[in-house]
Amino acid sequence: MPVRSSATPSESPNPISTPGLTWLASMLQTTDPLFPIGSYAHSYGLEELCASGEVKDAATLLKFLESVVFLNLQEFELPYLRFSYIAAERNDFEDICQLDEEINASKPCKELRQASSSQGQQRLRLIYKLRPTDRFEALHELKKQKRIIPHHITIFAAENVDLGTPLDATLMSWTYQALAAPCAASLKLVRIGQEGAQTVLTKSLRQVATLIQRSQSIDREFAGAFLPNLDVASQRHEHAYARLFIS
Amino acid sequence: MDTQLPPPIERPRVAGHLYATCAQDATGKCILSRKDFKTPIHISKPYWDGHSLLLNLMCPTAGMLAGDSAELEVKVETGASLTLSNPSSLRIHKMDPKSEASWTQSFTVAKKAFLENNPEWLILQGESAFTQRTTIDLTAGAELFFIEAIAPGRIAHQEAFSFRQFRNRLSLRYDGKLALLEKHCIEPKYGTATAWKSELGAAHPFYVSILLASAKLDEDKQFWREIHELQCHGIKIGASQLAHSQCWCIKILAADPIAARRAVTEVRQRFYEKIGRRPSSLRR
Repeated sequence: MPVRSSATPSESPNPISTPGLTWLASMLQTTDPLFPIGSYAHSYGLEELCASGEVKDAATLLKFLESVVFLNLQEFELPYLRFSYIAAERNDFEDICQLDEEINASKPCKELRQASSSQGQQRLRLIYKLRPTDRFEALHELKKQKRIIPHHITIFAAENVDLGTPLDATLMSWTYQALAAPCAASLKLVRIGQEGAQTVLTKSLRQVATLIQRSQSIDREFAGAFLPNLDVASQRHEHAYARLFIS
Repeated sequence: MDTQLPPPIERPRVAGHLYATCAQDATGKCILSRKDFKTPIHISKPYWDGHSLLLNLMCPTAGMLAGDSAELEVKVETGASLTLSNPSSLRIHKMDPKSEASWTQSFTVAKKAFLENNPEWLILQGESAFTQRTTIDLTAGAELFFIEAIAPGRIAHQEAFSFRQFRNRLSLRYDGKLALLEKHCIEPKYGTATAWKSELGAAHPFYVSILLASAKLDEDKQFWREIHELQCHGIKIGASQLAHSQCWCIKILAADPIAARRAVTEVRQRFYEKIGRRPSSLRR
């Protein structure tokens, strides 16, 4: 049996420089569907849009991502993730509380508010247990004092500051999650199949760099997305007689 | 040949206001204890119907033009009831690329007081730019029925989503806590009206948001089911509790303004029945 050469990494011709990427494995761990924050249980309004027939196949799923999810990312979620990341970097806990309150009030549908808060709380609980830091100690204390809910964006930002994840990578990973979640939910809601969902996700990912770039110019005074169609769908989903997803 | 254009003629800008306070007098009748207004806002003589003071607010000019601004500060004192109605649409007209019009309004409602704000459509006409800022502060025990009705252009004239920019910011606080913060900057040219255009289905361009606040509102499933059952062809409607348990939001998307108005009338009637008040005749 031939024996493979046992060259050490330093002897390989093109060694991969990893010291600057130590944050990557930890970030991948907590953005993986295996990380138990319950994101698989939410469709974020998609279920009702499928029930009304507005989303029914791969083409309309892509249209939903481009016309609704992109807008929410560009105008609301990515700007608020950036504000929260900067506040966490500065250890500005007053601003973190303020931002968390703004995120809470920016969701006019109880279901979407609860989807965000339950994932934020679960992420805080797990990260506090798995990788305790001073910042997470402080966030845990703020939650005990009921000064933060906290929402998913708030904790995701603080976690990535702790990991040393660069801001652009933090924004990119959030964007990926926000696009992958409805694609995963679509498998149970429309006739699309694994390959169809991956095709839609691939097409949508082609536009994320532009999306993230545009989000950088949004200022806090008007950071928010006007999504009346999604709001009505989510409001109606709360009262649906039968449903697969929590939101 | 001299191709230089003459400088544009400066139009005088209009900066108006309304400062009004509604209070109960010694007999329990509601009166305006303070009123101060200036064009582009004009108010009618207030009318006391035995339950609420009706105040009609009008914009005597053609609407809001480039550079125009208005400021509203409305207070409803303890135990008083005010119905603020705007019987004509507020049109935001075409303006130069760097111009905009603005409207800033604040509403304060004290304990056991009631405010209804029931305006006609805000119409964002082609090439207009408009910024609206609204703050609503409710003391614990205050009640509210607050409508925001927005049309993205003169739809009947095939003009939709051709306004330049619409910036809107609304905050609702109940007992000092932030119950709702809606803010956005919509620029159709840059693709930020996609969710309003309903690209997924039939167009429902007429948008109405109704904010409700009352300690008498609860999770009574029958009440909210009846609101959801108002959905029909041409009307999409949903309702949900806001970040404060006594505040709710109803959103309506309609294919035409008549259907929207019909849904609003139904919601208004049911809300008043639920909270045990009598709605004022809006006389329009």
